Amino acid sequence: MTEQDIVSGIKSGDQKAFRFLVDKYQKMVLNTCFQFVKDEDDAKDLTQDVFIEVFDSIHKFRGDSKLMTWLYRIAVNKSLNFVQRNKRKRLFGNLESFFSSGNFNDESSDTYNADKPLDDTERSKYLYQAIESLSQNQRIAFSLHNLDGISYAQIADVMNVSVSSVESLIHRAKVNLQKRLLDFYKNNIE
Amino acid sequence: MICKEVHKKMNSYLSEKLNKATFNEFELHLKDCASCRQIISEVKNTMTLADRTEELSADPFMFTRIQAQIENRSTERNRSWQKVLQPIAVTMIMLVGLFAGVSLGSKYYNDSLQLNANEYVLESEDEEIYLNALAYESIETFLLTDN
Ligand SMILES: [Zn+2]
Repeated sequence: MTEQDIVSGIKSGDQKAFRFLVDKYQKMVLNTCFQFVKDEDDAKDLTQDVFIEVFDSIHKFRGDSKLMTWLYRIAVNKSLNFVQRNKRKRLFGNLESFFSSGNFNDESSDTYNADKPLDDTERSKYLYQAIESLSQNQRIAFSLHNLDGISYAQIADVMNVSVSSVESLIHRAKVNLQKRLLDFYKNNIE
Repeated sequence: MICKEVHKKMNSYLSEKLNKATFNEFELHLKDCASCRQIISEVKNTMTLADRTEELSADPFMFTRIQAQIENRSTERNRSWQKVLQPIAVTMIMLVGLFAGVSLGSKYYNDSLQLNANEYVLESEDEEIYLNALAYESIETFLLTDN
């Protein structure tokens, strides 16, 4: 089934075409969402939403971009919206630690024990918080470039920017992550 | 070099931007200072995590779940349409009924006016015969069965 077949199939209500699309791209969509939300169940729910959106708005897809690019865009948008909503929820649920700023907004950061090294679960948590603090474009570029098998050219397509912009966004993201992590560990390791 | 100075140079150190002399001083401090050493190693460890991506595998029930959600949604949508449409439909039916009643009534009224002029008596006699015929018949059948 070519991309064109899939699109025209779904447009004409062919269930087989829709199934083909889901089977072919679900892993890609799932892992894209996972890059942003870092929770498997949330990523699965979002993947479901992405394909439902595709089903609903396939008539808007005119083939100016590749189907895959379109899928990436929907996945990124949905994930960022989800993260935004969640952040707001966390903010209201966690006002106290929000005001005790200076380090990352996390209730467990004060339990940091300098005597024993961190494990990777904790490190990933701090890393994720640092990623969350990046500018949106740096975050998108950085998160997408971590995906298996995606090229800079593809990222550029998804973000609608040039390849060199993607390179510089990823570079700046890494520099900023390092700075944030340094600040965090300086504040929490004495 | 003291900790404060080392802290300031950590970012440059990690980005490999220190000149040879400063680099050596920096490393000398790290050898003796556990906390500065730990900061550097945690940043490095955390940054390497960024390059290591955990990959999720496809969910075999994904399509079924998506399909169920689409179907579920469309029946819900029908139900919500029903909620809106039902009172409208009932009102419409009542209006149609009312209109039909009025127009039929007025038609009969007109008709009966016309009949009134010519055959009013005949019509009422026919009606009476018909009604009575029913009554007679039932008595007859009653009698027959009793036999
Ligand atoms: Zn030190």
